Amino acid sequence: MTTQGLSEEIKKFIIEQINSLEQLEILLLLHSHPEREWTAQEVSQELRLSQTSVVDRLADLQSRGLLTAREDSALLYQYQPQKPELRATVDSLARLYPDYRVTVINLIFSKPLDKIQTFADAFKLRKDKDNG
Amino acid sequence: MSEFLLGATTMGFWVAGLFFLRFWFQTRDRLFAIFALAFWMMGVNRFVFLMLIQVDEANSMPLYVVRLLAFSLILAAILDKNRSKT
Amino acid sequence: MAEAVYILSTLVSLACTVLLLRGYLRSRVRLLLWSGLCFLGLTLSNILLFTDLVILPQLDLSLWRSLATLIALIVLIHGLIWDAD
Repeated sequence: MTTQGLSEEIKKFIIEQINSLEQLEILLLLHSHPEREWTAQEVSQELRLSQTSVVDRLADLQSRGLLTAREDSALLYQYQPQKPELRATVDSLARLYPDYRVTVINLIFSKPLDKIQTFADAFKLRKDKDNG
Repeated sequence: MSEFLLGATTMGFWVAGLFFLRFWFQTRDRLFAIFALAFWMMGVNRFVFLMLIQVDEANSMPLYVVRLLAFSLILAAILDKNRSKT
Repeated sequence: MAEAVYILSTLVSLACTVLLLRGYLRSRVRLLLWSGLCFLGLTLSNILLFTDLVILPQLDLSLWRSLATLIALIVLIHGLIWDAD
């Protein structure tokens, strides 16, 4: 599998931070409208995804320092990477993604599974859909 | 024979506990620390049986309390894992 | 009191068995298979314990209990050594 065309930085970002296609799409959506704050419902309507998994993804992205969350009448998320290098990486990724879609997708799905973490995750009663 | 088996299982629990301890260091996931503790307790439980040959194991309070604690810990780990889901 | 403890132990180890084997079916991570089988063995051992002391006290199943536990642990340790990275 070739990952030509993607910088090492982007590859590292995908391997470390992105664990599903759905999550990537959500990140890129919020990235494309950085001034806007989104609710989970708006995101799920925009991308036509189930709201429950969108809620999980948004919380996950927030815990990775890519989004900020604010409580108003609902929970509002905004694209605000905590570190400038993250911002630069996501900018490049967003720029390259349309042309390198298949490469990026392959990278997401061929990640070696962390066996030990999978053991711990097995004890979660609710199913964690990670290949959305 | 029974002493051998008890000795072997004590060792087994101990080693498994060590692995769980290592996993805890690697992942910082509390579940592994709890499992390590629980497996060591089960090892201690077996070890105590080994040492007290004459005792009526089933109905001796201190002995099955250890087993109770060990499995309660595992149960607690499962509940803890499901409580703090982001 | 003792009976309650053994029933609890059986239920908890059964829960672990189910969760780990379910996890294996979903993720195909072999570590979960071995550890699931380990807890299956521990569940069996717990069931035998309950049987030994409560249902059929005239029999002595301690040898079988220990064997079940030992085999369960051997399977687990095998999995931990070979399939846990």
